[in-house]
Amino acid sequence: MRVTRSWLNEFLSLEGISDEHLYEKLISIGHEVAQMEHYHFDPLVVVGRVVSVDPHPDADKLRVCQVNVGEKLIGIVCGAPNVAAGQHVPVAQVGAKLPGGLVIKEAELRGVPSSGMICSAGELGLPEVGEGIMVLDSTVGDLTPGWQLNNYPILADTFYELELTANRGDCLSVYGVARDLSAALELPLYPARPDLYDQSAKGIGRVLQLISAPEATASISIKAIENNGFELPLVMRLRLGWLECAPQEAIDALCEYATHTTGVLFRAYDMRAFSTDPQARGVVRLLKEDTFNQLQGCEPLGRIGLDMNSAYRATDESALIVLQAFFVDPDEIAKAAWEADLTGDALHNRACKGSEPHLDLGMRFFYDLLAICGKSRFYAEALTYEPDWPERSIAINTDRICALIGQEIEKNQIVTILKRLGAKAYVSGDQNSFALVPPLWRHDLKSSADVTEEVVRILGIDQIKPKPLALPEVRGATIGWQRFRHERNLAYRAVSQGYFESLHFLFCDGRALEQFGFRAMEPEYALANPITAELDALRPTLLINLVAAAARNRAHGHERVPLFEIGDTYDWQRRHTREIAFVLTGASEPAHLGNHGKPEPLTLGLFARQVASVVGGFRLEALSQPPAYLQPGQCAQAMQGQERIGVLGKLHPALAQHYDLESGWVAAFDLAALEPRVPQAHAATRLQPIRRDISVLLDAGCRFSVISQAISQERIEHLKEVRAIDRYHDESLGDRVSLTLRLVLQPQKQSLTDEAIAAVVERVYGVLKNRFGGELR
Amino acid sequence: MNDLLKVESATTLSELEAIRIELLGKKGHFATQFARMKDLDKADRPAFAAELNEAKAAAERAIAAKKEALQKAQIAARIEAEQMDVSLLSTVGTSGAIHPVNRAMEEIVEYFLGMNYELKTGPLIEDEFHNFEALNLPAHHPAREMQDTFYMNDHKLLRTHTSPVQIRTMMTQKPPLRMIAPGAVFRRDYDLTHTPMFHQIEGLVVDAADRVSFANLKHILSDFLKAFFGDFPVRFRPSFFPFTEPSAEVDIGCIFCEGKGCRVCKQTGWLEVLGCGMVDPNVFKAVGYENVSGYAFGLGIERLATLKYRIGDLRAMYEGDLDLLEQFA
Repeated sequence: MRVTRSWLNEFLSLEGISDEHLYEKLISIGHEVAQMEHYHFDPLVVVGRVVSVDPHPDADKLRVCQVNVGEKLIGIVCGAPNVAAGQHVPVAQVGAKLPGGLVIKEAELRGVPSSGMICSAGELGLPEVGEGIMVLDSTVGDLTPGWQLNNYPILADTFYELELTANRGDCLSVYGVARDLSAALELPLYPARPDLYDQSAKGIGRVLQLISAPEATASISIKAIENNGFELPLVMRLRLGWLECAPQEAIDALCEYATHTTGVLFRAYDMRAFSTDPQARGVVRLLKEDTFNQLQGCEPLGRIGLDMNSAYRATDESALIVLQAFFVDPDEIAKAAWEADLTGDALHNRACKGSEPHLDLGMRFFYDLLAICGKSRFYAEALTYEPDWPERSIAINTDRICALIGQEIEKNQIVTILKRLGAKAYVSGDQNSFALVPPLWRHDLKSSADVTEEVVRILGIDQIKPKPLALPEVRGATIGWQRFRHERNLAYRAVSQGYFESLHFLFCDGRALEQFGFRAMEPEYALANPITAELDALRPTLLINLVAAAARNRAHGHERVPLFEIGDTYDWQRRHTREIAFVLTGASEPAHLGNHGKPEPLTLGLFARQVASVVGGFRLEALSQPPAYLQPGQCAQAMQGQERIGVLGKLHPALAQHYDLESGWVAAFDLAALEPRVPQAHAATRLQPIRRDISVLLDAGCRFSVISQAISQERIEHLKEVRAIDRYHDESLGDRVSLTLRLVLQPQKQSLTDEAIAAVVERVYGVLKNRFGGELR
Repeated sequence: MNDLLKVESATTLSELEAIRIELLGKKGHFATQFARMKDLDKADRPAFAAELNEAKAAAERAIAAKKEALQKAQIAARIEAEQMDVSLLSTVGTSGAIHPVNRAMEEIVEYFLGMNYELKTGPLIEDEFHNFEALNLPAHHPAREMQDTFYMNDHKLLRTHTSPVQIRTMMTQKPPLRMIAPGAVFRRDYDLTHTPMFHQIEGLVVDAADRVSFANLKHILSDFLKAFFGDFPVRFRPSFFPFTEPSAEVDIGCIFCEGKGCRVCKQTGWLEVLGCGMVDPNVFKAVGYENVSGYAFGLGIERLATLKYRIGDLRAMYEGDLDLLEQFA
């Protein structure tokens, strides 16, 4: 919402209130000021009267003007095509500095001296008001040659851009803002001026009659305008410039200006809408159909507050214009349109937010406006209809208001504030209770809480003293906190392994799903309105965005990219999983003195150890069907007990190539599987464990996970752990490999004899020999 | 005297040990000398013994002193040999980093946990009831325009704020209630200052009627902002949210220009950091709460993080950009 000081001044006197005070006040009553700008001109910019205009002897497009700037006549060479004798214009005299930085100097244009510049609005820093120089008219004030432009408040104005909240449709006009300020500043609004309609004009009854259904729930006021052309005065063009509003048709500009000024909504129809015969009287019908108030002339003309039949929109060519002001209940029209699934026009949006119900205010303003806009004239009188708007009453108890605010406020003070806002208070027997009827323009006031907000706003939010709240003790550290803490602990462990936490959108590029081997989401569950084609799917894995991020970083010259993310994923049936995922491209560690600048390339084993440092130890098992994003034979599922907690491995070479990476390592773990369990300790023995290494020749295809499982199934007493510590192959071994196993034996009650130890080793060897054809080396 | 010269001549500890054995060992010089004593006259023996003891003691002292000197020299030599340029060993760049959004989120969560708030979470994929209706945003409400919502084909939606967690909590838990709900939220907006996903922390306190006031809300948020940003002025401005009434937005004095006006605060001297208010009675009605009072607030974590850590580009936060993340190591 845009207002200016001079514009507000049309409704109340802001004399003595500084721009800054007004700024603070607007913010304190809930109208955030996004921008405030004071227009100020150099004192050497003054009003000039063009006395004569002569052609330039040596240039077709230049004119030589004699301009009266008060005590002297100066000669100015001017290039604007619209300069003419008799005009009042802004003149920047020699020495004046213009907003763009231009300083006016004595000049000579093609041999003719020029001692100043006649300015356009833009050159003065004002919004453009038309081609060429800005011709001043009486709407900016008395035009006296030589007077500084700063003396004209309409030019040297202060502009405020307000960010209104969605509930304050009543402030979508200059008048509405002035009304709210009048309550806050305790300044009276100017009283409505007496009716000065031109009684000598023809009455509207000669051209139109209104027939309205008694059940109609819209206020309307209709006037007729005899169109003899419109000339928009400077004040209006300037302000429309501030609104960045430039309608093609003058009649639209007038409606826009009147609405912005008063909040009353207008529609302008061509007379043809109501009468096919120019000689006959037209009929306007107001009907109520399917919750909408329908306007009808020769045909349906639209639903009031929703739309209009644009075939009958008035243009500047319309000889007779029918101007309709209207008001509908904002909640009712919003609900009706939504229920009927109808999209209205721009005025509908205004009507839903709340417009000015006092149509007469808007009509009077329009009348005055027309008087300065050329020769077009209103017919006398108006055709009006107003339903009995019900008084909505809110039960108020001042104790509740004080409790909600947290501070004692006198009842009288509360009542006074509400009355200043235009509400009526009906005080009843109970001394702290009363019934409040908000004014028709404040449809947003519905409950005691809404009314409390008004008290806070006008009283001043700063007047409320902060006060700590006493509450009974409750346990804050519940499951939600434990999960949060656990996730963050994982994050810190990853950081200590040198990984950087990355966050990505929940969305990913749907085209990547297939590349990574994920099913596209069932159409039923899919995103209906993605924001871009690259973010059109919900991610089924964190890895898609992480790998893309790794590739971007590589492209930006990072040799080594270790990233991880904790986040949400959704599969093809939109089942939710929260994951932690890792990506690493480049070497196993950064180059440093210790590795002589040649860090080891990453292997699955090294990567698994890094990941395990974060998520806890796990066994690696081969994947029977590796996902498409992993390289077969270089990937594994991570197991804890019988549960698969994640997958990890080398990025598939085809995918690495696609992302322009030499190689990459990725891992993704299900967070639910990583939740900490309560450890169950058992009595520890003081007896020392015994370690025995055995090397066995085995078929190269023999998997350790299978061997390990077979040994564990034997349930060999004292055997606590079997760890693979070496795997060796050379040509002499043919298609066999040498696997070295470390057996860890843990005596429980007494130390083991050499025979007992040998027996354990023998049983392990037995399994290897009988089940896997192993032979001792 | 010869003995002492010999000790002095030792250059290593092993040489010294050989000399010690030669002089003081079981078959050493002094042992041999003492053995000779039995061949002497009884009268001569005390003088001989005294002299010999003195010589032996002197040798022992000399050996001990020499040993200490040699040990010191050996340590000094070792120190000298192991001298190195420690500046080669910088460990900068070996640690990763927590993402700035999560760093800020943890700090905020910890503040409110310290104030006895319970931490709650809720689903990202929501329905219209929890995300809108129950929050006093009926379908025809013009304020629904404020939210650009991502919808699914089955009419579910990505939550546009963390407020539905309030609704879910109130529908399963009785007051008194004190909770925060951190998490990702989604709006269809993507430009220099908006990303389609960002993070919020929702706060909600509910107790019996007339117990919780706007003054209480002012207290907790003023205190929180002091804890998070330090000693900057805090300003409450009346505002509007459909789910709170009265509502306010909270600004802090610009941390960049200290209120003088700069590009970041758009010359206003203030930075908007959060929205809050007293829970609207319609919200309590929707969840079946009666005779209660409460406040709610919502913090935009990216907003707080970009201000506190002075991050210029919001979008870099979602690109896994190491140039940004390395600054948080």
